[in-house]
Amino acid sequence: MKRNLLLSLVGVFIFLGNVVAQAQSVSGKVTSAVDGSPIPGVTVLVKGTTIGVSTDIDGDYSINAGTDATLVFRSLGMATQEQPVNGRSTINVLLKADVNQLTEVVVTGYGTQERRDVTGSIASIGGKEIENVPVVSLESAIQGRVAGVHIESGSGKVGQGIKVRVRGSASVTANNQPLYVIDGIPITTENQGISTNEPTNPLADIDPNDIESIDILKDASSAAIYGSRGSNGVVLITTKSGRSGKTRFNLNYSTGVSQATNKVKFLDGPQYVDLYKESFARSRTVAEWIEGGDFNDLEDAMDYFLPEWRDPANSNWQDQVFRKGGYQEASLSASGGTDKTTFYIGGSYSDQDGILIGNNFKRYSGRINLDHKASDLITVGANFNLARSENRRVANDNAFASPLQIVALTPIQPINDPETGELNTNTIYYNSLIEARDAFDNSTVFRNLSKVYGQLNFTPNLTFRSEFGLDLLNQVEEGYQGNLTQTGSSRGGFGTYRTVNVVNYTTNNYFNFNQTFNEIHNLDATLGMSYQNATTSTSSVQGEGFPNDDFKKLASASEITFGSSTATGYSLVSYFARANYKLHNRYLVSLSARVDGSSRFGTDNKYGVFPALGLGWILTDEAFLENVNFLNFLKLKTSIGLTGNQEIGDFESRGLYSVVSYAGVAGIYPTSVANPDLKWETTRQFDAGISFGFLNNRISGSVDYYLKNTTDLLLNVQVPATTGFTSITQNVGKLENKGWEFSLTTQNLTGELTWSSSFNYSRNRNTITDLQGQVIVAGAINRAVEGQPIGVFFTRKYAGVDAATGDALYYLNADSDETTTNFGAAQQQVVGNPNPKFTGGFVNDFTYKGFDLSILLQFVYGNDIYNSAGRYQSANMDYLDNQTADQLNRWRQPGDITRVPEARFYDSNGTGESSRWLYDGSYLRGKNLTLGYTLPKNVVTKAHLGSVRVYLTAQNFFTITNYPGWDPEVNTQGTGPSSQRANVGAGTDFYTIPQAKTFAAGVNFGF
Amino acid sequence: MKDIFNFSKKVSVLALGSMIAFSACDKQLDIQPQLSIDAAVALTTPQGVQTALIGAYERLQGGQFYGTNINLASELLAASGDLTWTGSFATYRQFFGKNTDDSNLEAERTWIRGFQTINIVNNVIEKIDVVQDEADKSRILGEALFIRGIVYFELVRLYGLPWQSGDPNTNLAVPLVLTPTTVVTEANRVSRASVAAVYAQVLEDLTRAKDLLPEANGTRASTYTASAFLARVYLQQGGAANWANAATEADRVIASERFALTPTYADAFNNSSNVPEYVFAIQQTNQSNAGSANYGLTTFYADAVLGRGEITINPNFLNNFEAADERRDVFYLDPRILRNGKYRDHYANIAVVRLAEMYLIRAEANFRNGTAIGTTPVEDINTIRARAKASTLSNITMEQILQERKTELAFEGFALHDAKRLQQSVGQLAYDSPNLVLPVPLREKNANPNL
Repeated sequence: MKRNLLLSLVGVFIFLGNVVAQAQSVSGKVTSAVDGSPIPGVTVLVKGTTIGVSTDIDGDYSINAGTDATLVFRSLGMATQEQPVNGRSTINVLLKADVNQLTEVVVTGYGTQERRDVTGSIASIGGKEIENVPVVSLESAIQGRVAGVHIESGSGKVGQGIKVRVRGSASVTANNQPLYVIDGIPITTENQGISTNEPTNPLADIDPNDIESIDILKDASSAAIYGSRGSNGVVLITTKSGRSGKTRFNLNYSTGVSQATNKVKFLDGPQYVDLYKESFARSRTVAEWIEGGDFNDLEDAMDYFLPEWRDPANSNWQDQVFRKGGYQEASLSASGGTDKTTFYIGGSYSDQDGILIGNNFKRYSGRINLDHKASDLITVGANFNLARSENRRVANDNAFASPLQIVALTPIQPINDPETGELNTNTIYYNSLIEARDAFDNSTVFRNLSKVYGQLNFTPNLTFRSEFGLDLLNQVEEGYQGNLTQTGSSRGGFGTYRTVNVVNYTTNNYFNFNQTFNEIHNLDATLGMSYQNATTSTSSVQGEGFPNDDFKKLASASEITFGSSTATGYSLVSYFARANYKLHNRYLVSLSARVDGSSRFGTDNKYGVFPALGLGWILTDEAFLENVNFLNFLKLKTSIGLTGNQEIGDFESRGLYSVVSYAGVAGIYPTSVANPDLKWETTRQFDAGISFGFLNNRISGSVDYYLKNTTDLLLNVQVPATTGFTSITQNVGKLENKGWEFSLTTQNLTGELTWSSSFNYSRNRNTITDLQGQVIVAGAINRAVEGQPIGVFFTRKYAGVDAATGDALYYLNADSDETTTNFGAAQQQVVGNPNPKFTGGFVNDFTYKGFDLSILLQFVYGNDIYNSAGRYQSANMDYLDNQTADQLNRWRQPGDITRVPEARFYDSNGTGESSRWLYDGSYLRGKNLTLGYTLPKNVVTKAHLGSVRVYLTAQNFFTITNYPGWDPEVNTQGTGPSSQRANVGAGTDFYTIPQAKTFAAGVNFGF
Repeated sequence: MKDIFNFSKKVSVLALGSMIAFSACDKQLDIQPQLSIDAAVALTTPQGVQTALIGAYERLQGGQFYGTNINLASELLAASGDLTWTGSFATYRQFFGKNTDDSNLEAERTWIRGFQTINIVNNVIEKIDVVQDEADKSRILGEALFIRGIVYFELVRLYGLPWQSGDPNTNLAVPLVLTPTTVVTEANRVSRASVAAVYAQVLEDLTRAKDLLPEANGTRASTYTASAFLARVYLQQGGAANWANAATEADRVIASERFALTPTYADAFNNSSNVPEYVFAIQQTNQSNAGSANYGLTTFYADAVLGRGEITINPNFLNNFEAADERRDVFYLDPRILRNGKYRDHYANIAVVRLAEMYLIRAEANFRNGTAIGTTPVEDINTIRARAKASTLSNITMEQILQERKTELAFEGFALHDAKRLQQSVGQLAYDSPNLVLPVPLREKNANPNL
């Protein structure tokens, strides 16, 4: 007894777990309730312990369990079942498809939880849904599938950064991308490319086929465990692991083609010449030039600018840069293991040709996940992922070398020089076909994501887990621009070589305790700490003067013109605790807190505290609802908590001097003013929701309302340049996101033909409530303005064309209908909003015998797009740029009613930045369609295979939109991508590459 | 007993785990920048102060300042026939069209760069006592004052009405900031000072610089560089007293005999190191230059192969030269468009003050005052003409002096300021039209309601 007393002093719970009842062996078969086929890979657990096995390929299992124990049968997508052993030695189980996935296990960060018990808002996606989707990175695969998560590709270039917003933009200046955590380790996701090109996407190094599940923490009570980085939501990615039993192989191959979702109609040669002549004849500027003696007459002026008008070619430049892209992917995986050791091994190769010449993405990836139970006390494991991705890049949108800027070239100049037969070098702007032929820009990434862990299972209820994860990113960017390219021509060829090395390591150490007391109290507690350290080093060399274009390495450069190396880094020390308490299996309380210390903040404010509280009530477990048969599940939940954001530069709280060089001598100058008070940006989020299931859970879903208030914005505050500085980072301002999320899943048909639908809808309203008068300008015409949503389009409002004169008209100011032809006199005002009113997706899945069909529609509604290139390409022939065909509708004579002003060369008639090129960006997209056929078992078995499935898949197979540009999913980054640029400068098109429409066919073997 | 053993093993592992987990990591948060140093220590050594001064020169080099815009703003705003902007940048097109609005990015960048440079030298001036060596101290202070003086001179000419227009005591130019910024407060919302106040500051800074600077200072400012700018400032203001000062300062530079005209006119341009003719030049190397893609005088003036080919010279401009005049030959055809060949190397130094200008200032100022400080105007003009292989003049008129100035200094950034001081209209616009003045940038007005 003395011993027991002693024990109770240190922790009675440790002892409790040691009491194990007498064991016996239980075996059986798990089969599908639908067709009776065996289900492999079902986890069979002895309830309340960590003892578990998996069913083998025939659905068989065998486990040692106490005679009084309860077995839990769990498989993704299936309803979890519990079976008391009651002394039985054989237990056969029929598993049903899980309709509402209430019992599925949700990854919550440093732990897991059953969905029914979750008080926060967590969206989950199974690996099945993103397998074999013909896209480069995982964000594209989940687009449209989850409420509250808005995903937007910047352009159709393969391998580039993708914008993801969980419940809106919580910051103006700091990064708004969510935190990505793979198997417990936060990974590097920031752009690692040079600042003069669009952002790269380190997530593209991850093979989506390795992913078991994705859980997105959206509200404060779930994300606060990631404290300072929870404001933008947290994406938890779990990779596949093995299950004991026979080793299963899976081989997949798919191949396909892609093309642009849309092309824009431009003027052809004859149309161009007509408009060219007209614009000269009607130009006041040209008339003045002639008057002033610069030119003899109209034709002389026309000869000066474009002599080809006399003998015009008819070139379709756009067709020169678009191509049919190709796609292929092959993957092979093996998984299995014994009672003690399980493994997953996967390898894949994917190769995607962009729809533009010169754009390609290749990835080679291998993964090994191992878990080993060394003893009842110790579990160890390791994840090891090695990937190499090669991205053949094209220039940023805002460069003449960018492929699609080729549409600016006039159709009356020939593509090839008729004399030499080579590409025309005398075009009005740079002929970017030369770039595609004579230049390359390759970014090659070696990525190693590794993790080792050890877990001590003191008792089935108390564990301690220690993880060490390493994310190594080694990037090499190599480029060469030949003697005839724009950049290379004056330099005798121009070569660049840049390396980026990111070492990002994390250690997590935490206790988990889970116990039910007196059958009515359940406590699931976590306590731990984490340390993360990331350093980035880069080096860069440039050289010029190459003998000829056959020499491309810098060793052949006659002059090395630039060399540099840099280094930066940050670290985070964190302590976290969470307690989930459940009473009577229906009253839920979740309390969590994290204390984060960051190297990025001022000495006085390094640490921040981020607490959260969640409450839930499962009404269907109450007696008063026991007899309401149509209602299977009803839960009310609410949560409130604080999360933070620290995604700013590494040293923004410091006053710093940086180095420059002048005439071979080093100099320094002040680049920032100190702000020792700089602290965390904090978001307080309130969430209330309801989850439900009706009619045997054939109808299930959830509704959530949230209100996110961000204060102490980490704002890039504009200061008078007379200080010597243009901006400093201060905690200034507030903003708010509020919205609704709605998801509904229905089983419409459950017979031989099954049909299920899943619909999600989200609406977010962003309002900047306080900026203390700051005006933040980004992109072409975007702004952050007090009282408006982030990134509103702020410019002069176009009022069309004066029918009497053909002059462009603008509204004088926001309050009047009065118009003016004086561009300068018209006041700038809010003319549009790049944020959608609502977004969502609609999935329909059908199965019939061996056939399966899945259709995903995705929609975005109510956002505006500004075509920043409109000033050049839809500008009633103000300059030589080829014009979109809609400019033919220009004003020609008094009385013409049109929105296109009179064509007047170089007169700037209606070409100033204005709402003239603002369009509705709503769209409905056929995002994915997959039709598969699984060969009958008897056929497959004869071939000694486990399963064979052939499928056809189509990505972006249709797009309905009123946007007249290439594609409504655009967001040009311009040069120098910064988070503020991405946050505020949204919804802008600038010769941006459209999305790819991809059709692929594949075959999948299991054996 | 077995239980006890098991148990204590578990407890000790638990304790170990806790220790690993919760050991303090405070020092791990101390991460220092590797590419910058803290402002608190940057200027605490003589070397720090000296390198900050170099930083100021580097800032002058950018395309935002002498590297491009100081030249282009002047030439494009003053263009009325000699030169045409055919490029795609809307900003320069606005300069050329004389309809620059307050959101024009180049007008904004030049403003920002000017004040950024001023803040650097204000820091140097404040920390000058860190430098113990008296000679170094004078030189560094002199250079800092010189830079502040010339930057304010460029700013007052671009962002304020001409000295000759109305009352310079009431016409507004740019804010005068003479102390370094260590913290940003409401006090930093400085109002615009008058044209006269800025000119007074320019003269004060340059005069002090002239007294402090050494006779020679490598490629950086010497006492004669300060004199050269003083000559320019006095000429810009005009009037008998100022002309006398201008002639005196120009004469001081010439008489120093530290500078010499290059043997040929073409030799005065596209030099990767200073030639004796350069009184002050922005040093460029392939490591440190104004740019070769979106900035740089070569980028805009040179042909489309070497640069962007966005400025054409009217063929009639060549009628300003005699056939034998070698100054005509710096213009070249590409292949049918006439280009300014003074900037044909992205990495060549950019001459800001050539000795030839000193001869021209001395000639003009002497002529206007009827004096012969140094020598007679006709001598000075003939000195310049002789180098260019143009004919010798026996006597001279004001008109000829100005014509000489136009041909000698063509497209080197003088056009606007000469038009203003000579009160010549530009096209239809009067010399003091607000359209010929760069607007206070909108971003600046947004950040500072006092503007």
